[in-house]
Amino acid sequence: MNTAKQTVDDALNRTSSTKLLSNITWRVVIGAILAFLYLPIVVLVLFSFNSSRSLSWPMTGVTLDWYRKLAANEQLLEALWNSLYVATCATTLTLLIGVPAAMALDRLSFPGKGIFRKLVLLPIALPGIITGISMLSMFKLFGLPLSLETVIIGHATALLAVVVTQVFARLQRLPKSYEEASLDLGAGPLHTFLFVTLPNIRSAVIGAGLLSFTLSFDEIPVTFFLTGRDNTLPMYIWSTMRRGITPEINAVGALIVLASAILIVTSVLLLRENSNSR
Amino acid sequence: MSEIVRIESVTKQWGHVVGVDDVSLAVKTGEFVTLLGPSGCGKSTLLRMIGGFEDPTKGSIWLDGQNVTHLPPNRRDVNVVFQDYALFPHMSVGKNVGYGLKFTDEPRNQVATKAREALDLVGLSDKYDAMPSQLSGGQRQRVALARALVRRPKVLLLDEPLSALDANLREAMQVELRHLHQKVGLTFIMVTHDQDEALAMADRVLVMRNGRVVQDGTPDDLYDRPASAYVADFVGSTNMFRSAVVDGHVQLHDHVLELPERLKTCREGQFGFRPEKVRIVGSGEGGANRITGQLNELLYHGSTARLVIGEGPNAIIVSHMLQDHSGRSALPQLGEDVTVEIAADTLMRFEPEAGE
Repeated sequence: MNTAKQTVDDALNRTSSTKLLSNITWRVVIGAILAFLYLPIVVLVLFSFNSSRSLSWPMTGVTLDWYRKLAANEQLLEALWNSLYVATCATTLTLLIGVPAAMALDRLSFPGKGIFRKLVLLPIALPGIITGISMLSMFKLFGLPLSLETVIIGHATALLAVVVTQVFARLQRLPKSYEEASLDLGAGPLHTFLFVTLPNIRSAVIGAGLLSFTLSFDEIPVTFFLTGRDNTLPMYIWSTMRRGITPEINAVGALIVLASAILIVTSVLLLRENSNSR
Repeated sequence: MSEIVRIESVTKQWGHVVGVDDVSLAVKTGEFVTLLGPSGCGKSTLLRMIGGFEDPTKGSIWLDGQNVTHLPPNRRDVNVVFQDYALFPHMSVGKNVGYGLKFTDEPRNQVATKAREALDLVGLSDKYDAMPSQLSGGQRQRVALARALVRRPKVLLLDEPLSALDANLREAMQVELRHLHQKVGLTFIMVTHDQDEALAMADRVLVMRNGRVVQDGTPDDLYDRPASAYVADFVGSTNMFRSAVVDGHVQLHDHVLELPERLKTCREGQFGFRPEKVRIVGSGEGGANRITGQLNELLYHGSTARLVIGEGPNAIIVSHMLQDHSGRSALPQLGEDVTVEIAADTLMRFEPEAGE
């Protein structure tokens, strides 16, 4: 009797300890993955508040000096402004082309539609360096001077795939009968698009727009080939980095992380609401 | 009554696929017409062409004397109740119903009032501010009706309007739609694959098959005088058999049945009779056109039962009330021999159809 009970207890203990062990293992694994992903960002943000210039642990003190310096750095502010300009224009251009392209893919049927769709989506898989070089050659061929505008065109081609994919996916789930009902009730095609189609794909459009904005804002390879004398923020950071990592750079980085995080979270939320509706 | 819709030799083809094949029809003002047929028979395509969502390959469509064949949907005075209702999910019920009024001469300040009136008509005046997602299936159906009716179209098109509702609600809505039709006095054209629905609701039913209209008549015509074996089988059910005609008699398996006077001189062909028109008689009674066989199966269908008498290919199906008027069971027992009478004038003969 006694031994039997003991065996049962042992077995119970063993299962619970195995459970505990596997629980701990999982926590370690998850922690390791998160550390792998986010430790560099934590380091960046922490050292942007470090009072010493040197990147060594432990930190010597906390300061906001680097953020103050940043606000006084005109080159950096100009680069930031350029980046915002490029990202805004590239996103707008992409949406203006991408939304109609997605509508065409979804609503029309024409010969070669399958190929058209693949061709539109291809640039997403194309390395930025290829887009950069090929567009550089093309602009040179046409005699177009390089400027922020050429960068915008470069970004837009790469981002088109993002917008078309998102909007197309949403349109596919939108019943055709909404548009038919609107036409049936007397609305013209433009009114139907603005007041029936657009409100129902709005979240996909906004989400794709925010994602495009973030991608364009951070972009280096295409920008590198296509910009003239103007620098965008990532390019500026990259060029100052050749003189070593300064806490100032960390401060810019921390601000970009914050802005990107806000944009990405917003776009994810919008896209999720989008899949929940209906 | 004047003619409101005229369809002249309309054909719709996609490449080699023929959806609607040379259909002509005229609908009078105030009629309730149903297009009935199995899926793929072309009934929905025909409706969509009247609505303006499909362009006919050949032929023309006239609405109240105007040729509308190639006009877009927003320029025709017809409205559709869609199968999935197609209520705009981002607008309130009231805004949905009022949507179509923005494109009419209706003064702006009248839109809300008219929308409320239309909702009142379908018994949903309290749902003006609700969102479509908060409504039940039956309520959405009514909103879709109100939204289409508020524009007082010349013709209301209904595309399988009740197919998404469950059985009880569907029957209630059949009655309600019928009442609504009488109340508003508009012309209704409805598409359905459900023969009960078609017979229950319409003044006139067009049975379609492979893109053609195979019969155009009242529910009575379709039931009592089906034009073909196909219609007889699709509208209600029919016991079919082939037989030669000898001396004004046909042979149903081992039994000889007398034909009615009108069919006595016809040649061999396909014959049929309705399960509902067969009478169960006592085995002792003599008489013409009687068949005796073993009752092998009993299938309950609401207040009636289907009796399978005889075996295999020789079986005939008889429909009978579950109970007699005094409430006693009126059914024979399984395995019993049952004698039935197939009266001569219930026999129908069908011409062979093209392609059969």
